[in-house]
Amino acid sequence: MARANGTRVDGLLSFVRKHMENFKQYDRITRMSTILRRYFVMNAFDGALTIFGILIGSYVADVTDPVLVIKVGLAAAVAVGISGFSGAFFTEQAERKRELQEIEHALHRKLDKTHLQKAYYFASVITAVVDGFSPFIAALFILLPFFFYPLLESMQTAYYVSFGFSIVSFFLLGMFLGKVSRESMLATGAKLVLVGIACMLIILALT
Amino acid sequence: MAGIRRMVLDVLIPLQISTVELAQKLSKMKGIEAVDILIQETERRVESAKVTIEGDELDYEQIKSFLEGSSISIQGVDRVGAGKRNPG
Repeated sequence: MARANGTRVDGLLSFVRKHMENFKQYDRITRMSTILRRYFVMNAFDGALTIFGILIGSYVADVTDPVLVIKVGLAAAVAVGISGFSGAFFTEQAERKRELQEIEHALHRKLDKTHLQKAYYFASVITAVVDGFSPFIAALFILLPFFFYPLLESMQTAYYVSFGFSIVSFFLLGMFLGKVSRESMLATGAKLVLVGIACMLIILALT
Repeated sequence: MAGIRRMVLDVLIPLQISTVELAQKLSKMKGIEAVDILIQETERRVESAKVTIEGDELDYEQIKSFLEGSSISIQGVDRVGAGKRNPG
């Protein structure tokens, strides 16, 4: 039994190792990790800001039903996620196809079912998955207090905690950008927080 | 029948493919003892190169299918050596 489990674990490890190796190779060919990084921050911020806007709107409109906030928030998160997934998949695939065609032209041959074609397709799919999931996860994180509404004192507290979560997510995403650009992580974090605050002020001025 | 001991292939390699990795992978194939990749020209999308492969009994079809699967274009076979001893 123990040996069977050990074999299973070994099998799983070699499966993961093989796929990690493939991932590294595909990354080297397509340089997808830089694109993934960019898309991750861009779309997570997109999702976070959308939900932040919805929350401010709900707060101003005095929505006191947490289920309603969750439903509206989730619907928006799903829409932003699907938009991110499909948008990234189709644009990336179009770009990759064009690049592949140029390589095919230079090679005087088709590249169907080759390493390069697989790498390019993989890059399109992974980019789309990151693009789809990042706004969804950011949105879900911000909506979290409403899922735990019974534990919080009032709906107002849930709103305030959610606003806090939004600011934290803006700051973390900004910090990530700072890490990428090797700038001050605090400064880039603060920049995205400022964008969030500007968004809030504009919404408040309009409503 | 004595096997093929050496062949020189004229190939086009996409710039995205690492020649170091390609040489390593080729050298691990059955029957291959030595590999040499000489880049001759680098263009915007591809590199033209001469791939010299040595071994005891080289399987051209196997090598061709590996190279094609690795997105490489074989332009021609420039040189082939076969026999009971290594060709000079």
